[in-house]
Amino acid sequence: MSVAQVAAVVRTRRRSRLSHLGVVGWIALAVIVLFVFVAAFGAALAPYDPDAIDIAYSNVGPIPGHPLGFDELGRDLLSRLLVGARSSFVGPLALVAVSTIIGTALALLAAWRRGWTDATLSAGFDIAFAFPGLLLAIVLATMFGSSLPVAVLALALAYTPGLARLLRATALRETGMEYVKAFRVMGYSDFRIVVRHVLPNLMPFIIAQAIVMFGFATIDLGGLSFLGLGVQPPTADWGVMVAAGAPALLQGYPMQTLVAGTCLVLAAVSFGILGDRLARMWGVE
Amino acid sequence: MKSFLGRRALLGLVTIVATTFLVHIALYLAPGDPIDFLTAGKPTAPERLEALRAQYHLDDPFLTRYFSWLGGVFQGDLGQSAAFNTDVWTLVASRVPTTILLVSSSFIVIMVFGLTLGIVSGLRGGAIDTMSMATATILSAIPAFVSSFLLINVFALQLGWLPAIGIGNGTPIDTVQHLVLPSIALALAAAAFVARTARASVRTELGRDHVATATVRGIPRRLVISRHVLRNGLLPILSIAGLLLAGLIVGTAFVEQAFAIEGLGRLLVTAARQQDFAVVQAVTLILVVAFVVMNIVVDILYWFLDPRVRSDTA
Repeated sequence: MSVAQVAAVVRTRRRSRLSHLGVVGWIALAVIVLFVFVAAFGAALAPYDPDAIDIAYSNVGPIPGHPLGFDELGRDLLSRLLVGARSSFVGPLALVAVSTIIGTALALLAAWRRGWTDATLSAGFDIAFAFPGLLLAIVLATMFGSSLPVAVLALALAYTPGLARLLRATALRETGMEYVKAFRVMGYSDFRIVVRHVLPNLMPFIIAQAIVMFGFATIDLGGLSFLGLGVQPPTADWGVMVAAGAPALLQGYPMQTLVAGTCLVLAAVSFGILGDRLARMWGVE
Repeated sequence: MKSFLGRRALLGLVTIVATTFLVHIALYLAPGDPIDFLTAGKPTAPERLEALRAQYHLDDPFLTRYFSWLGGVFQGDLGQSAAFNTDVWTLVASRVPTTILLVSSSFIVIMVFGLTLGIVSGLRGGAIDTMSMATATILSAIPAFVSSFLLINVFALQLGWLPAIGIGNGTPIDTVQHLVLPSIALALAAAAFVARTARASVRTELGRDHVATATVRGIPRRLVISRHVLRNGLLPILSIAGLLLAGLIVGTAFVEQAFAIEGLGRLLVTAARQQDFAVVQAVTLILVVAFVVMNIVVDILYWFLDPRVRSDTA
């Protein structure tokens, strides 16, 4: 085969793989890119100061220059929504990072050591997995007070065993492969085999799982902020905004609650779809 | 049956003791003196402080404290709420019926809509199937704290069909009207889950050899479906019931908060925000006991409905 032929094969293969994303997958990716952009530069994009209060404009609907109108304290709603993206994604990012790193480490440890290490860890995963994240968040909030870090810690305790359980099964299969035995015979250290060779092969699975987890994390942390157990007002945050808009909604001004709620759902659904499609594309469902 | 029930009850008891023990430890892991924590930082009279020290046995060793709390529970003594300034038992008792009503009406919604949608989709296929499964996927993506407000906005405020918040004045008709929207909000995600599970399982059963045999033998389709397909196909619904119940119990916190319903979930959240440890401990206990009891009921149902379980665990 000539170089051109090889390039053509590689190109078609790459195209056919990316086409696994499908139209829906691409839309999800576009929504995520948009949200991440807003989360990064929201403060610069916001047309007004998100914390500037003007009671005279309390719950006023859309007017020229303020396409979404104002919240209950007369703050510009679009500005709060744009700025709130960061707070709504920072929590999930920390949560997914912590759970993924610890979950992966525990799963690899269980799969590599096997025997009683595996048995103990697996039993631990099963028990912790059954305990609802909300109850953990309630207990931790009672102990340490309500804040975003406490909510992230509670959900990390709930998410980690779930990921570790899933990953352990895949890691067990991987550590049973011939190449792992070969490296052992060659005298490579355990650490080197696991980190340099096993882990990279598990990365597609881990990344796809982390993206799916990010979707759940936006909803769960948004929900805790809605309950008053996560991000605290007056910080602009989508979960906080759903709760803050509730009294206005009952008086016939549903804009704040519905717009913030829609953003949360849209983000969660997009991450869920993208993670799902990536898993299918990489063959790691 | 006896040994089966005994094992399940023992497992349930272990769950309850382990959970309450963990929650109890939390009080002593919290930063600062537990006594500051129990008074929620409020200035308190010395006699009251003494009473709290005695009530929580703060001067006793840890295990003694836990067991004296547990002993109090059996005597109907759940302690005093720091934030609400009342007896926890009274506080909790007034809210239990509301939450039971909400969870059970929501359970009815889940079974009626979830099962109908799932069975019809599984049996009929085609456009109905595609449409109802797409609906289920969309619904399962909307969390209760968002769907609650969508429902309030559309059905209470725009259309004016149903009341928006609260639980009503206590007359049966009024209560039912107030329960409709919160039950649906609580049920949506679970109903979608039931629908998808039922559909998949009906599909699997339809493809089985014994179903084909029954059809070939000329048994009427109605009988084939009711005796061969549904009887086997609906068992998986029972096995996801535990997960569903946990979801419902946790979901009440969001739905009660959105609809301003004074139930256990809302009480739990308010207590957590005010760091009212006695109330959090009591409500957690009630929720865990409810969860364990309902799971045992599910296991017993399974035992009666599926002979295979009986032969395995006899």
